[in-house]
Amino acid sequence: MKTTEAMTRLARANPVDARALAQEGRSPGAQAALDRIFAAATDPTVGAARGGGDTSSLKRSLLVLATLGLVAAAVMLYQLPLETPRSGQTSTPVAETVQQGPVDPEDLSVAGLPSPSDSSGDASFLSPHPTMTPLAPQTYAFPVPGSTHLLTQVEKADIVVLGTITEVSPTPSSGADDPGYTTFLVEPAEILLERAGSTPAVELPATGEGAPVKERLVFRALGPEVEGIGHRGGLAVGDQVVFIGTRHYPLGASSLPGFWLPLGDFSAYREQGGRFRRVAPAHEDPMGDSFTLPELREILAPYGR
Amino acid sequence: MDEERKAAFRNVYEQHYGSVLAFVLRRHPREGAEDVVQETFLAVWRRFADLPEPPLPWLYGTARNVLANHRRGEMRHVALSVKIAGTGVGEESGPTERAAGDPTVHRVLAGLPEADREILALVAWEGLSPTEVAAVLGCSGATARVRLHRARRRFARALEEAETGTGATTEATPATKEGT
Repeated sequence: MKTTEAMTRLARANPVDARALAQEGRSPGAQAALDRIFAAATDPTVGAARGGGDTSSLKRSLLVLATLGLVAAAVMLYQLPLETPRSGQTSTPVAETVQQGPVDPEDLSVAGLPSPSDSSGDASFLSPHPTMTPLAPQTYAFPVPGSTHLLTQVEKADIVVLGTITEVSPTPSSGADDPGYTTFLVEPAEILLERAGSTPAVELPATGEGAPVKERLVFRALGPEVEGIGHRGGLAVGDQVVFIGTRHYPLGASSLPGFWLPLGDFSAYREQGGRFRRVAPAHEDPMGDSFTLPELREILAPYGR
Repeated sequence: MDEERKAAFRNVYEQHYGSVLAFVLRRHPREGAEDVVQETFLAVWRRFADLPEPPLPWLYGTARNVLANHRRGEMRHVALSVKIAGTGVGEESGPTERAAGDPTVHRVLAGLPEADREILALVAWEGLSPTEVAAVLGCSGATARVRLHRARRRFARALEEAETGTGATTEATPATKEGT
């Protein structure tokens, strides 16, 4: 059995419907917990979830940490040779070794996140962590880790359509805060997946008198000014495509009718030689970057139409 | 309190709460899952300035460690492993939890070493890339790739064997740790 097939089956066997939880962060319970988190930040004796956060636990944690630190140092010294790259291989980039991680909540200050200063002499800790840029309070699709994965996209999509591009209309940026976008009109051959509640955004093109009117689905992608997303990737009129779209507009975009290709050319698959290939390959997609139509149908089968 | 910082945190919280809750529910009974999520975000709030972009792997990694602490603190066995539907591990249904769709898959998965189960779930269920998996597990990207490659291979082989009735279910003893 191919590993891809096995992984596809595993993905389908996901026991929790994350999509159903997508808005859970805005639920009253979660919002109340958020208030408790803020309160805990100003009053260290207030816990977040259950009124915990006692200082004795912190002291205990620090003691455990110190012990573990000694043990870890010894283990690391012992294991270092195992991590040495073989000859001919490049060294592991520092950026990757930085990810020592979101470690123990019993870590310093019960925080769970490592500090750039938690060096302990390990070079991997010396690289500065990228500081998070505050995000605008906008709704946007799924620019989250793994979102370039086919299965993740399918899981979160509002529509998956097989069709032909009939029009490509770039709308240039109008300013520094506007990345611009590209509109694709797609004549659908088949709606492969449509989530309950989603209403296909259609455009009825002007036609000559007597000409048949065909519905065309409107898709948009940001860019190409935004790095990494929205580039058209050479998609052109006449291309047979599978588009995986969402109704949520991406960061930097405004609300417009139609579906968004949330990751631009990562959400677009173009037919080439009997396979639909992702316009922009995602090198880390364990499922690969292409599929045949039967394979896609198999992937979508558990979701119904 | 810096309102801008709070607004930024609120945005991260609202955006990722569901994903973190799903992550926890795959490894922990419904009861207490919200507590784990909130504890995770409390930890993140206290070090919010250091939160990397993208934050989700770090949130998962922190949640993973919160789960480990709960297990230690409660002094009872709540398996810090992928919840396997149909095997009784951490089972407790909720409205967002699906019925076991493919019992063979779950059975085979349950037979794999815990390290394999975890990395496979991070990829197949959390949708992480190997680099992101590395951030969760606190290992290098190269190590994560090697572990993932081996885990996928073992899983595919075990699944095939389970369905054809050949050989042992897995090549490794269940619940043993894999060294890489």
